Amino acid sequence: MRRFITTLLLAISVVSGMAQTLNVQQGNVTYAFTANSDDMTYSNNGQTLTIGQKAFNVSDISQITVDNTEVEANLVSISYDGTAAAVTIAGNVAPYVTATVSGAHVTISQSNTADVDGDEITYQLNGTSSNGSLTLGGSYKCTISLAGVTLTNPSGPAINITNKKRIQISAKNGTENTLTDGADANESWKGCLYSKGQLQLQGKGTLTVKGQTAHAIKSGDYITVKNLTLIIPKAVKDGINCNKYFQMKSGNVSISGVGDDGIEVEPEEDDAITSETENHEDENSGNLYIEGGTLTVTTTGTDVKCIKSDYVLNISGGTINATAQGSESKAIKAGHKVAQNSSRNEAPWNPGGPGQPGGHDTTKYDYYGSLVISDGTIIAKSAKHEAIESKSTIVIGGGIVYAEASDDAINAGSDFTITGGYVMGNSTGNDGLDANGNFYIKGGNVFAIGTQQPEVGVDANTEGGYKLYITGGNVVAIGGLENGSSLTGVTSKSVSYSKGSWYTLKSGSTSQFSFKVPSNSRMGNSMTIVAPSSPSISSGSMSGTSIWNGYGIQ
Amino acid sequence: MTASAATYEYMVFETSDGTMMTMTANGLKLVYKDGTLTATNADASRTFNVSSLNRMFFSNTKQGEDVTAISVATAADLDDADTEIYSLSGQRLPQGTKPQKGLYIFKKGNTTTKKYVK
Repeated sequence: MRRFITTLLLAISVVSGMAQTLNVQQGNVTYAFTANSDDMTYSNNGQTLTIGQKAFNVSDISQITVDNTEVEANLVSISYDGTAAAVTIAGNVAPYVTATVSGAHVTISQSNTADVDGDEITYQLNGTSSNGSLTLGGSYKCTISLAGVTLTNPSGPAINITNKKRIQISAKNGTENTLTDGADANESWKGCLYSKGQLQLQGKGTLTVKGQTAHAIKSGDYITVKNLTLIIPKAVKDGINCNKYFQMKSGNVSISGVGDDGIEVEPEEDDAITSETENHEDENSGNLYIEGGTLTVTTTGTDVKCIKSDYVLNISGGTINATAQGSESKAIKAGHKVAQNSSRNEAPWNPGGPGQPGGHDTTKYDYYGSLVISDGTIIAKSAKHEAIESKSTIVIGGGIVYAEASDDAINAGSDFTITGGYVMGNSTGNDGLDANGNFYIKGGNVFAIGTQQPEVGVDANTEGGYKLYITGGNVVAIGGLENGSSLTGVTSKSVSYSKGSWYTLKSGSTSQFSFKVPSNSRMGNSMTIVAPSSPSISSGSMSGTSIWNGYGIQ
Repeated sequence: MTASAATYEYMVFETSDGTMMTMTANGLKLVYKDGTLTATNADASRTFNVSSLNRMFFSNTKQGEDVTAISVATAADLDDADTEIYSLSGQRLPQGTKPQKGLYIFKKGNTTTKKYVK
């Protein structure tokens, strides 16, 4: 007998190395409690079973089983399989999570108002359904982990988050995830992936989102992107739309097939706008930040933008390829203006199209926002309008910028300042670089191509009483500089060129950059060069790194 | 219940009159139907009136009526390729090994049971 007892104790020690779980199943929802010695009590004449802080109506319980499955604390697992879905809720968060399942449509209500056992709740999605969804409500931050899920909801958003707190959506490393909504002519929902609250898109997996009714991704707050490979191949409206600000830290975002803008920050009209805040805390700036990663956006719609912020668009890193192919469409657009007294019925502000006067007038309009570029590589193309535009100021202090457009390649509605970096404006129908206010070149390397008279390579709004000031940097302007320009500390010179040829700009005997004159240039055969010391050009290119979409070498 | 890595050999049921009954926990299945709770595992099956239940809890100590048992491993158990067999010291036996006479842990899927090999 003693030997038998010893044997049993040994057996217990072996089993104790394994997980032990009590699974309370209610239809397609299972609450998985890690086993412990606490009482599970019956009350209400046996009709209620309470496990921990979770009370169950026994009539709702399909079965309870004990097995050796592992329970990951704070995890809610949602598995889609055709027209069904199964939800497993870790016992430690069971008091705070209520799940209902109808077919493969899962609705979660989350009631915690603080971390549970030191962490937030994670909802992990996997499997496939062509008629499924996730709706998530609550009032506390949480994470949605995409662990290989393909989800199509023909009658609403694939993921609909009514929780207004910060939601992380993280695609697990190595997983492919696809979200698709249905087509609804009444636009009954705002996005295939919709969140009322803050949306942090991250993870080292891949997420593809197709928006067949409105936006592909919509947040009523801010959106950040980090690490994620995000593909948006279709959206009836914007690829990504948010209200407060957008921030891309890293990752790879590709947007195409959109009916409206690629990315738009669109503040609510009745919300008070803030400036940028420290760590973006409580920020409602309407700003758009690109800090790293690779962003590729192609639009084909009419009067749309690949990247749009009505306030500050700040590019401090990363690689951007933005191509706007449709009429009246721009690759990158920042800022906006508001009539100071709309009752005066001012004539529409005119940014200065071909053959039209400029129109910057701060006595009639207030200007908001700015385009700020301090680093990164940008290739912006617009087939039928300006490639890069700010309705307010533009400040370029670094980075490599190539803009190609049928209108002004780069246009500032107010002042345009270049202090560093490499900037090329290649226009086939207007000015290369254009400011509707003053234009300041204080440093950097500039290659500007205007099309034909009266357009110029670098233009300021002389008609409006403004001027081009060059106090530093190296400039090559096909089409020349705006008349009446002020040059201080630099020297300019007119030199001839041949289309399709490579040249190297020198300041004194030092090569600054090489450039290739486009073969389709229509601006005669002479250009203006500017450098701090005795500008000159030599035929051919220097060795170095290709920039400006192949038109330059640094 | 708070998170814990402990495992338990038994589930103990207690009725409102203080009577207790012990069943082996792993593999246990509880089904509520028509005012009764039927608890079933590989050893036994018991039915309770739900209205008479007071509590249930995991335990490593038998309490009250003991309906646990050590079953005898069948040839099918030993030949089942999906079953892992462990010695009581926790060593897994190589697949296909015929255990010597004694008590072993049989693990199949998420279910673990002790069985005696004759």
